[in-house]
Amino acid sequence: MSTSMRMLSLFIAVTVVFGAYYLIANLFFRTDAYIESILIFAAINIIVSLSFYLPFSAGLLSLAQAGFMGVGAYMSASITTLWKFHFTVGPLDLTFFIALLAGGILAAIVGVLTAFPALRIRGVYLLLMTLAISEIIRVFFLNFEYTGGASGLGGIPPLTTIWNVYVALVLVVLFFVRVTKSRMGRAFESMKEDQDAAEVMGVDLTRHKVVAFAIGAFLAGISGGLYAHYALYIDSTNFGVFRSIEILIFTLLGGYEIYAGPIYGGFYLTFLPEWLRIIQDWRIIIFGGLLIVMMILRPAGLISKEMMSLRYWRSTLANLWKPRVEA
Amino acid sequence: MALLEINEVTKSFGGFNALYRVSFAVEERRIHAVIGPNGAGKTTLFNCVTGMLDNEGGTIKFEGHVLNGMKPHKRTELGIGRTFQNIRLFGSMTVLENVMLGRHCRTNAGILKSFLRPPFCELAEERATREAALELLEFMELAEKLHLRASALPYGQQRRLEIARALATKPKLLLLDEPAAGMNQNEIIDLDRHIKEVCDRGITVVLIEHHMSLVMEISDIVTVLNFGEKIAEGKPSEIRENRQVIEAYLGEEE
Repeated sequence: MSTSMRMLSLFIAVTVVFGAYYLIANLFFRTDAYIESILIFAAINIIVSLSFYLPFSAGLLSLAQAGFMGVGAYMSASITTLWKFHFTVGPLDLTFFIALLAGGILAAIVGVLTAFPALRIRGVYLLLMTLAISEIIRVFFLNFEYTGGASGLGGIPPLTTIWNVYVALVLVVLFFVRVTKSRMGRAFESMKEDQDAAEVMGVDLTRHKVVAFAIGAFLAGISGGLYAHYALYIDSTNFGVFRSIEILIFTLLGGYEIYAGPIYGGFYLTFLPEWLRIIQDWRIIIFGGLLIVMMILRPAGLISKEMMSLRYWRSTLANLWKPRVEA
Repeated sequence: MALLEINEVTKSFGGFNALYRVSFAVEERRIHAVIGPNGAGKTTLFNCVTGMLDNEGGTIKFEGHVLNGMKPHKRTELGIGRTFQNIRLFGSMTVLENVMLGRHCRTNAGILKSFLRPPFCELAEERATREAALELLEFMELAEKLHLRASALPYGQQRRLEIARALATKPKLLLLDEPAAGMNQNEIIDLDRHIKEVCDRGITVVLIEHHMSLVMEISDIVTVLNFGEKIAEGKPSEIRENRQVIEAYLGEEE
């Protein structure tokens, strides 16, 4: 392992430990509204990045995630704001849960509808098609008067708290942890590696593509619902192409070989612009520069697949200060 | 009834006939070799049988099922497994995962079942998949390489892994596309033994191969293709004497 790789690993280890500490400390011991809001946005960004990662892990590059997020946001906000829906079981208020679920399910339905034309398209054409779908969804909400049209939908009740966001995030991450090492996870990975070989080995491409799109859209819909009930006001510009590209960047920088990549990318890239606030107008330039440097030095993103094993970290940290030994 | 019946199969690419009215039958529990010069249509034939390409004319029947128009994964379910001439392993997955993937069409745990399983428990199906994969890796002598990335294996072992992955689909018919390509003499001897063992498991083998010593040694019957047409078929000893085959492919003995 090269020295630069060891240094990168050390950097990742330090940032992960620091991030976990920072998160736990703020979750339990501090109530700074500013930091809390960044933490909430970080969790929402992670969920939507993972929603991008799921179809991506099956070889389907989708830029429609922002659109699906919008579907989920508008659906759940309609339930809680326009229809004033309430549902309680004893002392439990399940209104928000049901609104999120409904948003996720509607987004999944739109996702399935997207998947069918996407079945025959590959690579960069698929990217363009999903981009178009995202735009169709955005323009639909821009013109849909029932949910506010161009003036947006306001007055959404503040149901998203740091706790329910992080509970949702833990569930989503648990989903990825368990499914990645399962029959379906393997099928997705094989499709990403070589779609035709996967089909000859018995993977039903149609079915798996539809499932990947549907679950990805479901997760995006959930994140949209969480977003709507924290931002309290949504309009169609929140869910445009720029948001889709942002989601793509979270995953590209964090790493797209394994689900830990979008988690890492989503977390730190939500914080980075905030930390760079000190240098004001230059922060976007630094952000862009960072992207270019990353694409050259580490095109598969910071977190790679082999970093997911304990053995990797044990050997890396044990050999940290040894002189250069090529293994 | 033959296991695989290929009847008047034609496939052309832009006017060029890669296969022209090729017919032959593969009997059960045989090792059937398909030989011929480069570009004779051997791989195209495999692609038509596995459904990666659709044949334009003729019919392909497997155990009496007509395969025309059937999706590749359905054919795999029926019991057709294959390997590729240019190795097509899933490079980023481990050796074990590659073979476990082969079991995909024989298992059915969905996403929700995997997600909602009790904590710290493996699904029974997953354990069975792992055990079957381990058994096959043992069989192909790859058991020490389980957790390596498939792309990190040396060439000869990648070829063996392809066979293990194809066997994991529980095929009745195994199509091997140049399994000995790029192998040295010792590896070919091992391969020879492995193919015979596969046949002993009751699996019918169709083999595309250029190594004549291997073909003549293990095959029960040989079909010869040239420019997309079948020019001869018979026992290895007959093929070796066939004038047409010698002219088209084997060459004169010095």
